[in-house]
Amino acid sequence: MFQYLVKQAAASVLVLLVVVTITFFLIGLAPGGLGLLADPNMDPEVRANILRNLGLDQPLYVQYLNWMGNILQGDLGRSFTFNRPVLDMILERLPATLLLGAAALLITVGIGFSAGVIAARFPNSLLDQVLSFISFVLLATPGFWLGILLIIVFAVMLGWLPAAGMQTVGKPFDIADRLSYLVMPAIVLAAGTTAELMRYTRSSWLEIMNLDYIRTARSKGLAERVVHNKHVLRNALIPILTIFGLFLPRLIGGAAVTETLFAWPGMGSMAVAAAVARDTPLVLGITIFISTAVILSNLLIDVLYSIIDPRIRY
Amino acid sequence: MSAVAQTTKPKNRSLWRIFWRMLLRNRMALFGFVFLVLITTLVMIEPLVSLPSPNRIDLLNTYAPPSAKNFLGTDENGRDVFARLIAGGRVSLAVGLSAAVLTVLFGALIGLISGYFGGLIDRILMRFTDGLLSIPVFFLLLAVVAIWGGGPLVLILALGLTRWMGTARLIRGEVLRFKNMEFVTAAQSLGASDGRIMLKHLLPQAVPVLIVSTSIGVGNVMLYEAALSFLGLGIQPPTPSWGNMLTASQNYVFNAPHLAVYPGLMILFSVLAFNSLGDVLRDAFDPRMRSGQ
Repeated sequence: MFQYLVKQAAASVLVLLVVVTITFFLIGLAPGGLGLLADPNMDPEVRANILRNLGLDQPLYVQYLNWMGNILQGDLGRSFTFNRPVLDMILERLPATLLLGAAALLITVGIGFSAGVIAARFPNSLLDQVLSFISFVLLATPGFWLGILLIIVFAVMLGWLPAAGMQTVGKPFDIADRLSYLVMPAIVLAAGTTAELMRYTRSSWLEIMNLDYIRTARSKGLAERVVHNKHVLRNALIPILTIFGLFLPRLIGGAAVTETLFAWPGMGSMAVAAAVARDTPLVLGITIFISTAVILSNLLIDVLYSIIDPRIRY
Repeated sequence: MSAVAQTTKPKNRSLWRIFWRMLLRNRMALFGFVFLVLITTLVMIEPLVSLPSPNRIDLLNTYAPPSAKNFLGTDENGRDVFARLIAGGRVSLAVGLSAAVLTVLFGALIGLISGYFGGLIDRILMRFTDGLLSIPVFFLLLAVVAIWGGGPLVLILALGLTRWMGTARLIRGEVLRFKNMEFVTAAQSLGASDGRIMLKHLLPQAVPVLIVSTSIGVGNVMLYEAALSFLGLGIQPPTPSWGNMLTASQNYVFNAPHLAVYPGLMILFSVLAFNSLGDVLRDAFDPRMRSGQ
């Protein structure tokens, strides 16, 4: 059974290698060079030294082979702009991104799932229509715009929440302080996935309501509440696992924009800065690191899926 | 004979009419349709109307309130906000549409080949598609767009080549549904080539899926374009796009918060419009949804 899953994970890793290879050459072959070297008045000798130190004086394919050889040995290389190991930089930024991602996931599941269930319990009611409308609008809202609006209302006009950063500088750890910084970025990051999970939960709940075993449960006289809370709920939880796998890459991609907007010191904002600075090892290193995490968690999700749902056989 | 004539009396309802009827019943989609027609017309006739130039800087007239000359006032450089919204709309809509068409073309190609040939080719292509879905391509997109410059062409190519996976799976599903039907067998036994069968016999069956995917794809791609431009990696100022207008507005949230509202609303309305039109089109094409009428 696990053979299929492991094969897909292996295929994903292969695809990842192909994609980063293409990107490596797309970046390497681009006109212009490293942002670091943009200064036209730089001493040619200094420039040559920098290039030599970074290994950029060698032909592109040699650079690629060196880099890929290191990657395959688990070494993500060194950042061009900071001259530090990429892995160290990622691990430094990881906790902030994990915190933001976990908060967003909590909002997604807490609000998205409950709203979906409420909508499905009273299909076509006014409440259902309002919730569906909100989710439809949220799905079409650019996350960063929602963020700007929140900043204008809650930071600029009302002054309730801080607009940027992760904690008040110089203040000792304080949970309320941390939360006030976390609220807006987490909401912005979670907006799209919450709306989608709501729609998904609603439709899968309604679908389950039409199945034979629900009719059986009802015809044997179970209270409607018991039918919903026991029979539907358990089965509706299953597809939510799968959608998690789809949300992970999206949440992480969204983190790039959200973190930049709120100056959140995570991996996403670091990736944007690295992309602007043309720091190839850093950008590719972050992508490889995150992708590996996503591929592994997908594998885990699939395994859990087949354990929870006996109908699934690979 | 008369019995036959009666039972086969065709319900002569064209898709176009079904679409219209469904559109009129869906308020959101109707609003979206009107919005799109309006904005497209404005974008096209803009050169003919004497609007202020979108890039004309007037430092004596910054943050002006709405007036007869500047419908929506002016921005931090005294440029006319309305003219910039229209000019930005041209870029955002053009990039969105072209990239969406590209994703659909590419997705259709992969889906057709994968579904029609099956076997090893199918397995490899689908593994590749699924693998790509599990990679946060957004970061790589950032890097490539940052380095090759965020012109419209780079954006269209970059988005078009990384957002096709959903369409490919849908088209493959359609091909699998139809490829064992008699009309395909008939074409095969008449000696039609694989390419001809795919393009002339199978692709037309997938047209509904293609149209719906394009409509929803435009909204999707526009959100990505806006995000990239917002980060300063997409469309480069002074050329306006709805995304990069928001980047600038971010610096003026204290003295001119309204500047952040209009471009965002334009993106929101456009994406809503394309998404709801996609829903209406899907319903119009789906006979099961129609039978309820």
